[in-house]
Amino acid sequence: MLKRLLHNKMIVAGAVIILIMVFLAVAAPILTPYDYAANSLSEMLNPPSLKHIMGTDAYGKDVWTRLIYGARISIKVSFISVLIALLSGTAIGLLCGYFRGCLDFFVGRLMDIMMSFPPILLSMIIAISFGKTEFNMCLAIGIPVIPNFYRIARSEVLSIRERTFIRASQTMGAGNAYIIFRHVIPNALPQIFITLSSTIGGCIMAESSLGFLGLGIAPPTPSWGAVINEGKDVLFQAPWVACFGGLMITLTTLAFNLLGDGLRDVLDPKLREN
Amino acid sequence: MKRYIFKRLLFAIPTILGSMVVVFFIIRSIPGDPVTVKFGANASDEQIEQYKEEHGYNDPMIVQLGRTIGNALRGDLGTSMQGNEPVMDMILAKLPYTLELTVFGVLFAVLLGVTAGIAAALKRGSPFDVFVMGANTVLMSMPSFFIGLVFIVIFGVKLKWIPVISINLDADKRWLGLIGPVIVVGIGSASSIARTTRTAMLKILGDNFIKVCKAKGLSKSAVIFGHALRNALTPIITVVGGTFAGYLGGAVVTESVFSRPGVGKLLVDAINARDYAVIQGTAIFLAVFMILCMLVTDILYGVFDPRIRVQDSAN
Amino acid sequence: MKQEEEKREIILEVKDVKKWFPNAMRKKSFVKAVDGVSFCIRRGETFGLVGESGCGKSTLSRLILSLYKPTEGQVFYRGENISHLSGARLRNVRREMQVIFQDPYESLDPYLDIEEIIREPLDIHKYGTKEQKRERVEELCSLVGIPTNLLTRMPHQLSGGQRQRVSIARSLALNPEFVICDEAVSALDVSMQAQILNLLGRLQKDLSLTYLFISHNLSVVKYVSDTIGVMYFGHIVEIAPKEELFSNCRHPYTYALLSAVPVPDPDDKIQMDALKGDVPSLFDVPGGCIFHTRCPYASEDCKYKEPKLTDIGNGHQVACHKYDTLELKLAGRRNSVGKGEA
Repeated sequence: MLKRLLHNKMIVAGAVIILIMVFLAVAAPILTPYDYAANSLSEMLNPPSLKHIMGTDAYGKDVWTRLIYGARISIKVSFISVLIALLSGTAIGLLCGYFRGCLDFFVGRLMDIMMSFPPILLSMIIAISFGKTEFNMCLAIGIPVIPNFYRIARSEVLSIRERTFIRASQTMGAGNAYIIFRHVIPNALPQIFITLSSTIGGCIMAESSLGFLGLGIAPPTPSWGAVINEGKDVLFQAPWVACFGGLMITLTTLAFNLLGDGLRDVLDPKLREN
Repeated sequence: MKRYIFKRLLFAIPTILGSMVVVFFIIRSIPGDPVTVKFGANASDEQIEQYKEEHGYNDPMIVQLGRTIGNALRGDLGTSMQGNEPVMDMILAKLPYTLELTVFGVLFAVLLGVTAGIAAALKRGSPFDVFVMGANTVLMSMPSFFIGLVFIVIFGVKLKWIPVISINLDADKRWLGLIGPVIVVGIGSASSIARTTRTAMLKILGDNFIKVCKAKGLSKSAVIFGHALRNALTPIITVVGGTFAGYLGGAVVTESVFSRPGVGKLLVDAINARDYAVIQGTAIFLAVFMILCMLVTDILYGVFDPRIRVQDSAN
Repeated sequence: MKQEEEKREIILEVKDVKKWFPNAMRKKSFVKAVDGVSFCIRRGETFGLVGESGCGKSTLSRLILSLYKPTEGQVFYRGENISHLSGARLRNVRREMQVIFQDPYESLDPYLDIEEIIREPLDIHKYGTKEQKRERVEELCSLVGIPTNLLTRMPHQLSGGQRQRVSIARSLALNPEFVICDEAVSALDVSMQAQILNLLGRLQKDLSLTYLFISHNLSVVKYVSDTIGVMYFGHIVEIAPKEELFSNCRHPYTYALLSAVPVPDPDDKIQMDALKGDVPSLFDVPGGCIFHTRCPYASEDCKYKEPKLTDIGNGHQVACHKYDTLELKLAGRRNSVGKGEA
């Protein structure tokens, strides 16, 4: 199984890029001589040069520095958001799909309502309602994607539950909890992983979109969204700020999408194109 | 068929009501007192109290909720706290801009996406296919504002082909101002549509009944358009429906980038100004619109895929 | 004499069991998958249940296993009413009653290895220590003929026959007394079928098992069974010991089935008029005798009066108004039963 995963070019490409990004984030202090919050009035809005490989922003802060420190925040926030959505959405979807009945009906209606909000809208409303801390940002980004996991988990459980080996376990006297943990979850994992990967990409984009709209984490904390927000204001004089920021975001999202696609190719038997 | 439509309508109603409730409560959980914010630091306590009494802010939550929903169902979405303008009027004034963007955006996305998807499916494995799929993956990973900013910088500033600010143009030049936003908004969705189309087409083309069609001697285009495409429609409709529904609120970002005075921008401005009435009203409007879009999508499913109609009534 | 009495103990009794599913398309009407089935199985015997696809055999096996609760009627296991049990008591009964399913791939969890699969019943019922479980698994492997090096493999790496052996090993883990073989060999190719059938026969002798063998294939049922029950559309139409059924069948449906079994004899004549028409729709169940729409001997009586299963001696029961008047001889065939005929 591991070999098949490693042979897929998309998975490898995606994984490599992600590892690079993580490395940048973790090793940020050694990769730049600058402080991400240090203003430098003499160097405002400098184009990329040997001294500042990605140029400087409106206050003279080095863009490269802000971006790699920003990687920490953005990646961390995205991961936590997805984790929130994964754990709650999957758990709810599993229970609804397995036990059906009233629970399934009411949760289903609730999820319909959640899905009927344009996700950005929901994120925005949550962001302003709860305040601008990092954790609240995770909630703002994570909550709107709970339905993604709910839907996938539920549909997987609905089909797995009818399979013969589940019936066999029941005739052996297995209880519901045993069946769910021992049989249903492992069989549902591939689809959940695929969803996970594509959703992280979406979360990174959401974080930057929120930042762009001014609803992200407060300055001077660097996050990719914040950098873009500043870059938008100086777009015509200093396009490099927004562009490099966007580039980082695109690369990372691309990496996760590639990973997700690769995983889907390897793990989803229905997509084996002959 | 009528039963199917009726059932769907029936289900939409509690969803609409539910979303109004959700919006109401989330707005109420915003920290700070909306009335105090409106009046600013200089207002006296009496002024604030009087406003509250007049506008019913002191009533119990349930009453306020009932009033909000009742009004909303009648088309009254409240009054802006900034200028005392009815929210509904504000929305309706900006709606044309957003609708323009949405409709043309979806058209563009569908045309480009479906064509690219079909072409890629037919030429599977060729350099064209690889290019299309590669471009897709990259474009889908780009945040829309990034595409927008790049677009503006290249086409607006450096090449000066299109105007950057679109509101103050003469009527005949307005379409020029649309190009940028439409392409930006459309290209991201064109990617998902292309992808879904390609996958769906490949799946159908591999199906046995297509081989039967070919064996019957049908021409290639008859096979593609008459049979394959029709069957591939369901997932395509899903994506298109979702895209359309999402555009309305999601075009927020694009409207911000191009400074178009649409509903999305209205919302962002209201958020920044802490105008709770507008936020609430706009949020309700967008949510209801999205539910209606999904309703239409579901009905279209039923029209195109008879299996769904039958399956649904069996449940 | 004592062994005879022991042999006579009724392991499983199904009493007038019905399972009606609410009809999704039309309110207040039901899909009557099983509509009044009664029979009993004695210790040590193999009861073969034969019928076409869709006659309700699978629903019946699920009713016996308590995967479905009966709409009416009861299921007795060794005298105890198990139709509405739940919880710990049901789990206890489930140690004694096991099942082997038709699809050798689908009955095994693709994400577990063979050892974990066979060990599962031991895990569920907390059999013993890890070593004891391991020993038992190896014991079961040698019992069914699986080399122990397969224990670390995954199901998709095994052949159909091997997977079915794994199913069998798993079902024997807790020493059950009663095993339902639900189309257990139908998905295997013919050579594999013979091997598995022989294995099942050997296991029955060595472990004193009682089988309910369900199949649509009359030749297979003939090969393994002691008593045969014929099912049609949710009803049992005839039950008899094997020899009695083949030499003296009394129900027109049984006759039709028997005459359809191909016999390698160039002089054998096919009975073309054995059946008329098509299987009725599940939504439009015939009144009176369930078989009257296809029966070449049906009369007015048959349209309105439902025949009950009547005991006509020799352990033979039949549900037909005309059982004593019809001459249902399979013309031109030797009716000897035995290994040669299968």
